[in-house]
Amino acid sequence: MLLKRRTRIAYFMILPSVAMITLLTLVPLLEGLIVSVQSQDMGRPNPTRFVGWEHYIRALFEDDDFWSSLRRTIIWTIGSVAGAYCLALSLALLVNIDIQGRKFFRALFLLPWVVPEVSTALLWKWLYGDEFGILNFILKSLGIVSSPVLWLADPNLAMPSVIAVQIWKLYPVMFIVLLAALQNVPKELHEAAIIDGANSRQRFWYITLPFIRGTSVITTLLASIWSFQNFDIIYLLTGGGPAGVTKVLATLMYQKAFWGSEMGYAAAIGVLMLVVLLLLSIAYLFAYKVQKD
Amino acid sequence: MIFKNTTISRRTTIIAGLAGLFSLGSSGVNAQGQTALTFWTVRLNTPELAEALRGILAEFQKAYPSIKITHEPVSGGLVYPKFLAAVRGQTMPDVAEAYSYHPLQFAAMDQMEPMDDIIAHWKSNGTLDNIFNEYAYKKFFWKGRYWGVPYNLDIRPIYYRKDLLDAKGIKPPKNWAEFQSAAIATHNPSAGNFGAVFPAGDFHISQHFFMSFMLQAGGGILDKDGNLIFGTKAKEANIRALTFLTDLATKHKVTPPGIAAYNTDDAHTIFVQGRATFGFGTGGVISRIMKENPSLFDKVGILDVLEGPGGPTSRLSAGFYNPMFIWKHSPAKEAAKTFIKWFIQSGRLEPLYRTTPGQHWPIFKADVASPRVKGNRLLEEALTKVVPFTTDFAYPGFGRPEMGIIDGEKLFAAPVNEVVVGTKTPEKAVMDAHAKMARLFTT
Amino acid sequence: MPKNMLSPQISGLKTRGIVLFFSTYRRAYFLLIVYSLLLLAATVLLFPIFWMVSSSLKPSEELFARNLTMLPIHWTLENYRNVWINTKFPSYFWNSFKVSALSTICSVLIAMYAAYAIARIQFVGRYSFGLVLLITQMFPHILLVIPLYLLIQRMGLLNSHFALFIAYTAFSLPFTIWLLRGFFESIPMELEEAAEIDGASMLTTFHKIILPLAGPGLAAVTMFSFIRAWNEFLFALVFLSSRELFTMPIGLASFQEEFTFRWDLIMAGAGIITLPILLLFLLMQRFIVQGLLGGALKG
Repeated sequence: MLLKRRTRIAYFMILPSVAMITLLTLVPLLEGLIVSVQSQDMGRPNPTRFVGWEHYIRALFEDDDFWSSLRRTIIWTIGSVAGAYCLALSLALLVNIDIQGRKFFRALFLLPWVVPEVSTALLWKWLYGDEFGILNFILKSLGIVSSPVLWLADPNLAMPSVIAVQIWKLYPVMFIVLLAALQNVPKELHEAAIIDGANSRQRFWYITLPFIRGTSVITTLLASIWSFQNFDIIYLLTGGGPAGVTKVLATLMYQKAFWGSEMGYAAAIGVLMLVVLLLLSIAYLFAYKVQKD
Repeated sequence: MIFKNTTISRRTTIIAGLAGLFSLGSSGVNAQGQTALTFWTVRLNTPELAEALRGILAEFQKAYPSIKITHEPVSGGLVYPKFLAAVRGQTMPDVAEAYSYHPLQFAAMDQMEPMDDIIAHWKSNGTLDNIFNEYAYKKFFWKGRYWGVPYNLDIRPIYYRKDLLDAKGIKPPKNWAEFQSAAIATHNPSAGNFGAVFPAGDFHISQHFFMSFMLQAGGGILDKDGNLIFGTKAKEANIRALTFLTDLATKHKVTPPGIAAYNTDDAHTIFVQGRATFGFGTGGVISRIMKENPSLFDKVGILDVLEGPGGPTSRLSAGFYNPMFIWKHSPAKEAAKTFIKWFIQSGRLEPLYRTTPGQHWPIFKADVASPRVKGNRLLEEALTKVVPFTTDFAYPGFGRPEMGIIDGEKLFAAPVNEVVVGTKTPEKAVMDAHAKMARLFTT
Repeated sequence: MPKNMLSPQISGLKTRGIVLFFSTYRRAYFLLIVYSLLLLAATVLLFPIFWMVSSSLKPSEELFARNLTMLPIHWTLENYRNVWINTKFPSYFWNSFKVSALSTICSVLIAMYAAYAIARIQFVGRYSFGLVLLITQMFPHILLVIPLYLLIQRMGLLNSHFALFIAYTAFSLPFTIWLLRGFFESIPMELEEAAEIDGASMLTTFHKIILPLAGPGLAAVTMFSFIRAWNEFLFALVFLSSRELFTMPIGLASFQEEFTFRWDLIMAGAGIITLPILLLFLLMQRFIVQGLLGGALKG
């Protein structure tokens, strides 16, 4: 054979995954692409017709909703991921300390990940309630506020409130990955630095962080990808309100596809979401590589 | 998986794997010699309702052993994707009960079987006269044919606390002015009581109460010819209605501060927990009161439909006559029609109504006299005070498929939400909503 | 505060007594802070879950009482009983388990070969494959739902667990391969090189040497995949129509009437969905973290 034996084996080894991924993700994506250049307005008797760039032009130039939703999606993503990262890193640093019971805490901090998305959204909606929510109840009982905080009804608070929920959902995975990375940092480096007189701030900045940079980059990238597309949490908590301040691309797409019967336009939004994600990922990874060198 | 020091033999793995795959493959069974009928439901899916439905369907099986009916629940907010995917893949159910405007939307996609013969049958045997409101079936009339038939009704009453009104010597309000002053007079935050509570979140429910007031102000969405008049001929009336509703929150401040995030349930809970004088809700409030706060039952009443600026003839309340419909390409159309004629009859659906009182309503006048209703004062009030005055969103126009999108994309819930939050004036909110609706009617 | 208070270098510089006194005092203080922070974090972060469980044990009157209580006043298992006995939840449970377990096993089996190949073998397309893995995770699922539905329908697999099985397997592959690749890369190459010298083929090396060491890594990806499949909602909703086949997330969603959330059922249902995973997780977490450490083998 022309190929080395090792290479042949390699191709066999990746074959099942390539086949499944192609069939079940790439092919549907292609179909989505095709739908996005057609008019699939379900409420019409017209058969599917080719409309070229029409939907894309509408999204990018005519529909105000698209750009404002994109902006909010980016805020949502950055807010959630940055928040989750900081929380995850802090917890990982804490749990990394060699004390009794750390394994117990480690397990505890992973719990939010296990709650299914639907329950998460409903649970938090209830927690945030103005009259019956436990959060406001606690705040009132402690005398911190006299009237309930409108977590989900105040346009200024709504986005931070939903971001908080996403942080809660996101941080466990990041936490466990960062913890693993932290435990890979060689102890000798720390000990040498102590001898040299470095304080813990310096050690963190110059030893720990660089060591976990690779992991941090990857995990924040993946978390961003997941958050960017997330739909359930916002939809169930606020429906995109109040006054549209939490309308993101995913909810826009869902609304157009399934309530507005505009599959073509929705598909175009979906493709644009993909493109945005690709561009952002490339930029992000590029920045990472540049920093590395 | 292979752990240290143990290996699972290849053979065992393969056998286990095949067994696993095999167990995945087995699903439904086809009956021999019977016409198979698939029946999708979108609102009869909670455990109790499903149980009641099972009983009804079992009766049908007994009456028609040659038709095998399979019930499939379609649940959650993703009803549309299932139906749309079924349209595209041509796997629609033979018969279904679903959202208000589905028959028209699916008819526009040429997927619906006309129901003219059933309507004619009902006309001849007096069933049509027995239905509360002619818009119940007129809403499904489009391009000369009927595309769906109503089978149940979803109402939007305003509940009130008799005791709180009595304490102030106020009689139950009958018009807008009385309602507003009653809400203001009984608003007592220090005692933990709000004047009124209604959902104003960016959810579908918020537009329903706006609709009632729109009708009472003489406004609406369509005119009798089916043209969009929301922001044109009906603009003033609709703005008045929106202002009246939202003033309760913004100007008079008699509502809970958080209503801009409220969905249906949140408003219900406030009222059921006894914290508001007036509560805007679905019929489901009745069963929630019975279940969660039975002591409140005797203190609660249902208001007559209010009279607004539109006068006595506009004394209307918004509601949904929910349809059943048949797929055009179903291989069992006749069986489906038989089923529908059997299913939608006065008294047939009593088990459903008994399960969660108030959640579902019959469409037949005769059912007002049923013992179930007679034995429950609130049901009786709803059936006498609200149901006869309930009409559809499209009133006075007949149905149009675009209404499905207007309703589905909650195009006139946004105005309520925006005005309550304070980001738009009623006028601007109505105009913006009109612009979005107008777009649907031009393409 | 430096982690290692008692490093020999420092204690050698001062008299023992003073060092012991101060370092014990400081260490205690330090520990106090650390434990306080941990407890604070745990309380805040786990409060929602506590609230969920506590609510599920309350009778409905207490859920919306004027004075909420942390713990139920009248403990009741009524909600759980209602969900378990009066609904089809037990079969939803079994369906979820069946589909999640099988798709996870299959996904891990397929992924481990692919991961090893990318980790160790230089072949044309190695880089692109890695890129494809990353990019496929960016596809919005809502966009894929209907085309996927049509595909499944064309394959005649609508309304079957098989459809979910292949969907879950396929969608968990990118992340699983990614994680396992990292894990394999961290295994020192000396082991494989030694095997090669001994004349073992690559596959044999993989099966006999690498895989036995891979327990933790495999445990980690198994857990990830299982949880993702267990909680997955969108595809289950669109692919399945018969109630008997529903998985738990769909079952949970079916407790929602058109405009009403059945809080009592939903909280209990959520509890039932969460608890088994929790237990499984607590049992396996040591392996999982080890697996993510990867480099634990180095040290």
